[in-house]
Amino acid sequence: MTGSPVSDAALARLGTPTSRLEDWRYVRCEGLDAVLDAPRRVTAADLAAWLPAEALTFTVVDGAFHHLGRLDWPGEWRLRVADERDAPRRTQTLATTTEVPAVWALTGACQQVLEVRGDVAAPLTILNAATGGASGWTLRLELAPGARLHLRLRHAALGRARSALSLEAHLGRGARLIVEEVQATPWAVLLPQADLTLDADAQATWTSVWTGGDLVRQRLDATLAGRGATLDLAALADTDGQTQAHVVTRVRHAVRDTVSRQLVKTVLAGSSRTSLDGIIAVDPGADGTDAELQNRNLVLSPTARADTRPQLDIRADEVKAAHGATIGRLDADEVLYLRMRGFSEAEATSLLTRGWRDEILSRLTA
Amino acid sequence: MLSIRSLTAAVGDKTILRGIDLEVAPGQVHAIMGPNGSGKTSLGRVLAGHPAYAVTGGSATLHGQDLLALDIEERALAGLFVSWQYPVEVPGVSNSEFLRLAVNARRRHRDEPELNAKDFAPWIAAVAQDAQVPADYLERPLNAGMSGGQKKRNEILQLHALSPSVAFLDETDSGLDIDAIKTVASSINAWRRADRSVVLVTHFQRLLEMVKPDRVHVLAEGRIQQSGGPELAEQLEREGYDGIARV
Repeated sequence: MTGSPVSDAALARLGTPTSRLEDWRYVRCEGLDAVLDAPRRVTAADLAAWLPAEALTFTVVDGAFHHLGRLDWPGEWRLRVADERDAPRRTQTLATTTEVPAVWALTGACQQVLEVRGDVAAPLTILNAATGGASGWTLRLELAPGARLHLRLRHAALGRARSALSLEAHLGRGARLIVEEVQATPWAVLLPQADLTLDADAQATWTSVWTGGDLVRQRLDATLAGRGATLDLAALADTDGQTQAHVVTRVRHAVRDTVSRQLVKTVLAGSSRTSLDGIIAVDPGADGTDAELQNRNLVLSPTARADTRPQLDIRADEVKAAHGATIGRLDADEVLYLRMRGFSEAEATSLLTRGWRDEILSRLTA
Repeated sequence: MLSIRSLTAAVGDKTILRGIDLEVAPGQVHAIMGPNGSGKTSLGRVLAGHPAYAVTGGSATLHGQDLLALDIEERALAGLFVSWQYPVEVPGVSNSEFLRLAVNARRRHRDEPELNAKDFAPWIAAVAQDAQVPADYLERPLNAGMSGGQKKRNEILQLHALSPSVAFLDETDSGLDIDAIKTVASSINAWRRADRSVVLVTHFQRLLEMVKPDRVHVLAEGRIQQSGGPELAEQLEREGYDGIARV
């Protein structure tokens, strides 16, 4: 067991983020310093609901790594404790200076390294569980050229906790990474972040599903660093009550002939709040870039609020880049069409809202 | 079965329907023709309860039931099917899921047991075959990514699945190539029964050669200007609408 839960004292010194910080302008910051539960010991039984019995899996509890479940899966891969070879190398070249340092100081130097060669045949589940307090954990993924990994991230809070899970991934030439990330329970504060670097012909497919909390804030940085690299990101924030979920993406096309697709959808009920803050950056010389960032917000309640800021920063000439955002209610014609086929208004609304979510949820394999 | 008397309707201040009278008996096919903007599509929308239209006078009944007093979905459940000229695209909702829920809404309304997903699959596959629609339509999102012609054929699939008693088909032949028109006509004919009626809105005689109308009506300026047998459609094909006497 390794890991370094962050002390409350260390966090207290940093203070709470405020919406005066540019990168946190859409966040409802009041209440983020709410009282957290004291961390407690957990047993495998406490976590069983989120750990498929037969799955290849490991668990992070309150920022500390645990072997729980099976780690004897066939395939060329190994998990090791980080050492001096694994100096921090967060790129975050697009980070603006007002980002709260290292996501509110919950993540630090990498603690574990997962090295993958060849094809890990089964999906690997990582359960990020927290019982209370504030904690963070950082994993580095090294995918060798041609390697293939399918990762399922599950975030489960067993008490009022503040947690950050940070993933630094390097995909070698032709490597393939599939990530399915799901918020399994309500959280006080959940701050997942990822920083991906893709070499030539590497492919990353990332799907995140958020249901919100006092604060759920995802940050994803990706650098397409080799020709033919492809990123496909989709996220769904489905919020209600007073919860909020924010998605921040920074996708950088560093060389020519790379492709990125980002689709961030939200469904807002109650007085919930969501935002997308996304940038597509295209470096000088990165001609042949094909990039798209779409944000679609479905606002079901007059007291909910969605903010959107999709941006382009293009410094190359021959580039296909599209970005757009919509914020609105259900399409009145779609509701009418269904009612003319015999659906009540409530049934039509329910089916259309489900369909709105399913465009993202259908990407999940479990 | 469908009885429309002196029906008038408006959108805002603008009168669209100026007194429509139409009696459609069980088993009959009625064709409605007329120039663009004459009120053909509006008639279907008013019958269906489209919220943009206000009925200002007259009546419309189906099986003696006052259609105009019913909510939109109640009109559908009572047996009225009004197709859309440009069916709306609903990405994320699969055609088969949409059809299962729509069929079950109807079955509930009729106090029939609902079909679960397992029983529905073979049932709808057989319906698609009757409707002469490729089976892969069922797996696609509702109208999303379909061509204009495919959407029209998807409307006919819904007609077969929902088994209404009156089908108001609004320019179902427009945008179809000749082979597709033949298929759609054959599919409409396959749906017909002694207790089911069709109101066909069309610009073209070609569809009426395949789905033979009992009565043909010419709608212009919000009124039925002339009614006759199938020969009226032939006359219109030859002479256009200029020769039609205005009421």
